[in-house]
Amino acid sequence: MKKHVEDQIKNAVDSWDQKTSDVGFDKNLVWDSIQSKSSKPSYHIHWFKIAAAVVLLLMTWGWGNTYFSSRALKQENIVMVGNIQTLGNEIKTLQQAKQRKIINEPAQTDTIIQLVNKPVESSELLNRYEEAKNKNNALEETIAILNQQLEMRDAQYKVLTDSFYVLNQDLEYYKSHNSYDLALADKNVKLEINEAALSAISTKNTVEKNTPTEPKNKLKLVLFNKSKSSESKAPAAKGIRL
Amino acid sequence: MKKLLKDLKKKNHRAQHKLFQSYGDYLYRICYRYMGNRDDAHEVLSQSFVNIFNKIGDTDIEEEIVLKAWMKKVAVNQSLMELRKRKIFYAELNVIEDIVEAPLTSDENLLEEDLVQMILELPDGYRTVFSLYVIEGYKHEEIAEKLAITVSTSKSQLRKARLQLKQMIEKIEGYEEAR
Repeated sequence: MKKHVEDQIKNAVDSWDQKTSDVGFDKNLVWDSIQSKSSKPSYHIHWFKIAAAVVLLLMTWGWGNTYFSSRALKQENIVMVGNIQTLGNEIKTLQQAKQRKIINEPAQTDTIIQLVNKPVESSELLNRYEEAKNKNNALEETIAILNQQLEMRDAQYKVLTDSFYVLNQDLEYYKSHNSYDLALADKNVKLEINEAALSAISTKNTVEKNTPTEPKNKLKLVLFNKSKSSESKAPAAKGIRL
Repeated sequence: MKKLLKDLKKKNHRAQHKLFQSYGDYLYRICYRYMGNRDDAHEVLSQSFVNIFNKIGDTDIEEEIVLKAWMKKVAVNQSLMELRKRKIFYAELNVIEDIVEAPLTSDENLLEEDLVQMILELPDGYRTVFSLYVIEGYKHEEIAEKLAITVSTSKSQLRKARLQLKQMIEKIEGYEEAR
């Protein structure tokens, strides 16, 4: 085939391609086919978009979750800081109260008596009762003895009283019967003491011993009676001689 | 035109319909030439427009002539893809050097419709390689790559297409002389 024939064919085909006359194909059918086919890629885009949206949602959810978690942690942190401060204040208050207590403790004079209901066994109570009973009996016996002794004392007292009374009576009797003699004796009898001799004797006794060779000092006791005079001489005991 | 291209890139439905109305016939003819029948041409054309609508946003086309050439290329590629699926090409055992080019016996000017009709009457493999080589201007290496065949197969298909066209031309010339 010669070159110009091929060129002729090429030109003929190009010319045929450029013709605007209807070549008899159903445009509506092809257009519908195009629409149905072109809708397929849009599905792909849709899925892609959905996937992107899902990813975005997940990221948003993750971000939101992180944000809220951090916010919650922040709140917890604030609350914890508040609690720590409260605890610190409470500790300070307690320390102050403790100091106040320590200061106020000496001033506290009230004694707290606590009644403790301690269960006591019946046997112990019985023992205590018996012990008390015995003590009571012993005390009663002691009281009886004391009463007896009291009675005896009373009796003795009565006897003594009686004796005293009798003696008083006797005294009264003797007084009444011997009153005259006694008055007389009071009037006539005198006691004279040689004081110089007595002092000499007493000083001598303190310095030196009496010896049998030395002349014995004699205390002269002279009883004067108005009616008659009598003189008695007697050696004083241990240096004193009447 | 710039507004149309802008709207097409935004996947505006009206713009797409306008493009289809404007270039539907042109692209249909190309598809028809490669596919050889209306149904396949319809199918390839619709898929070609889908590709055009989806990919035009990725291009920087600003002129109509460029747009037209790009759309033709899309249509041709879609046709080739469809033909490749059908495995219409078979390896040729003939050695290239042994092939003797059959010269065209007539230099008479042939009618445009007759020539197009001759092309359309060629078998799929011959028609495809002939169209790519003669009309589109591709080299055998490019054709082999596009159709996933060997270069020798491309050359073989072209030789056979030429032989068949020669027979067709001779037939038409004989018919004309007889009239």
